[in-house]
Amino acid sequence: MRKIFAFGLLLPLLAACGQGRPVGNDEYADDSRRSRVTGRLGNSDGILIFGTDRSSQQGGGGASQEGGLGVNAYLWRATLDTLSFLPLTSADPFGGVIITDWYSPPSAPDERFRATAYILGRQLRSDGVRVTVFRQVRQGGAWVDAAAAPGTATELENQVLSRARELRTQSAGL
Amino acid sequence: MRKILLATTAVAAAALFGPVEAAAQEAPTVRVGGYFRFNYAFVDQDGGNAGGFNTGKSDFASDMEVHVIVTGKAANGLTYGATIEIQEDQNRAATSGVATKTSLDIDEQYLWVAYPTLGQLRVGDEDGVLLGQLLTGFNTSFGTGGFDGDVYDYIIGANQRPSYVAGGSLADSSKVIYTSPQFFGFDFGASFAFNNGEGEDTGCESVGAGCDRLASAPGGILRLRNERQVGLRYRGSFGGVGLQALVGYLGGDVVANSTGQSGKQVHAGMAGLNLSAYGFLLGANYTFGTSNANFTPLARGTNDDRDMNQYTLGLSYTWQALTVGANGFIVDSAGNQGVAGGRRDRVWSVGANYTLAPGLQVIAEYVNIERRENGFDFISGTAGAANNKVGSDVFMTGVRIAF
Repeated sequence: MRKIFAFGLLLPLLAACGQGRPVGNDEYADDSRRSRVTGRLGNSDGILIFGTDRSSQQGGGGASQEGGLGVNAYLWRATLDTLSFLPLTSADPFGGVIITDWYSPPSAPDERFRATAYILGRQLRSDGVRVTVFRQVRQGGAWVDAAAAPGTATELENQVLSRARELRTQSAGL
Repeated sequence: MRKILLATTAVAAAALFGPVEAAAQEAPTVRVGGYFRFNYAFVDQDGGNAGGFNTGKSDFASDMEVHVIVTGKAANGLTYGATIEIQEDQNRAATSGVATKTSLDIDEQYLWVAYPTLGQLRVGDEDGVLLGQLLTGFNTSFGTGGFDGDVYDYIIGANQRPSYVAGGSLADSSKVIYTSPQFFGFDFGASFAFNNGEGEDTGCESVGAGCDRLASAPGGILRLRNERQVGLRYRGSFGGVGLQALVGYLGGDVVANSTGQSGKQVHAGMAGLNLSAYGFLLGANYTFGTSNANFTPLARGTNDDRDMNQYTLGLSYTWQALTVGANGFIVDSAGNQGVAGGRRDRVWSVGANYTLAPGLQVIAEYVNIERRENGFDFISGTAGAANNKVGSDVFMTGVRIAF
């Protein structure tokens, strides 16, 4: 009983620490036959009878992958996931542009990186994302532009595409 | 102890009533979603002919669902909503005229409120955390779902259909469900139902076996009471491989026997795993414990009261609009407790679906079912030396649509 009580105390403590991330309804399993069909006709999760269409922000149905976004939702989410290790400066879901701030890896404090990602359309295609990486090194106390390794941007794009494919598989099967 | 309790309460209060993150209020929306499917099935089953009645092998069958989905968001970040799922499920009317194959009923109906730092509270007729929201390890993403798909709509006779655990396999008993936010990849939940009834009302007009609140009865009834589920889920990604894992427990009391020995309480564990990478999705689940198949309580003082063990496995591959896969399960259980043989239910399937347009799919699927229990006649439903093993082969193809 004491263990159960202690476990119950864990929740408010974790919540107070601000470590929790809200879980949307589309992250829960659904055993209805409707949920097993991939996508929705008209790309909208149900016919809106009342209210304003904000389906992309509700997380209620899980099937609308494009609602409210101007670009492919899988690529958009995958890009945000992939670049999440960098501090975000701006993210425009309609134009499909993600710009990060400078970030210095702890292991290399004398160099820093930032990235710009462009989602190029509503289709989930291998050429649907472009990532540009900028690098600077510290010389004499000032940051100076330097070339990034040529494969870095391509590797990030590949990571985005892998993650997008994974998200699509999850939404289709789970 | 008191200090800890007070401090904890203060922290919880701070989290609940303290500064909240800025959130835009959103007026409620009401949506109506739907589903329709039409299948052709070729069925070859044992027990399809009896008493001079012979059944054919081909059938067309349709099914539908209508979902009403309400969601909203308050200015303080509280989100809320309700879901009502209407379905056709009266498809095996025992008596002509009592219910038609197109009668409507309610599958799930619930209300939920959620706060970003506190999680979600859901009340209503739902599956619970283990068999519902946190369900893990059941890959039903191809065909109609393979072992948990439409196949049982075409099998005649309750003894020809296996009993197994899957998403929503228990009745949607009216219950209270809590699910937490996600912490470091983990979220957890718990659910509780007093009784085994769903919907409004007591389930009976006069005290008898049908009453939802039935606590004991002469002879007892092998029906769950005080159903509780707890689950802990982890989700993460490692080197491009998505991982979801679940461990959980389901327990329940049984309607007691007021004149003799009562049935056993149900105590069951579950472990599930989903792995996804490069278009592949692997699901595996192991469910075990003191119960008969699908968490049916066991009677005491019988010839067989062995524990239940269920092994489930599924693998699918998605390439563009096409998903192909295979899945199956083996359930070892006491089965009919009057015979000592022990029961094995085994189902495997292969299938595919192809998305013609978002929400519109064609499917094809083959399912093989086998049930065996020495000393139990599946055709007559009684103890006997004949028909200790029965099976069905079903091929289905069809189209389904969702909006």
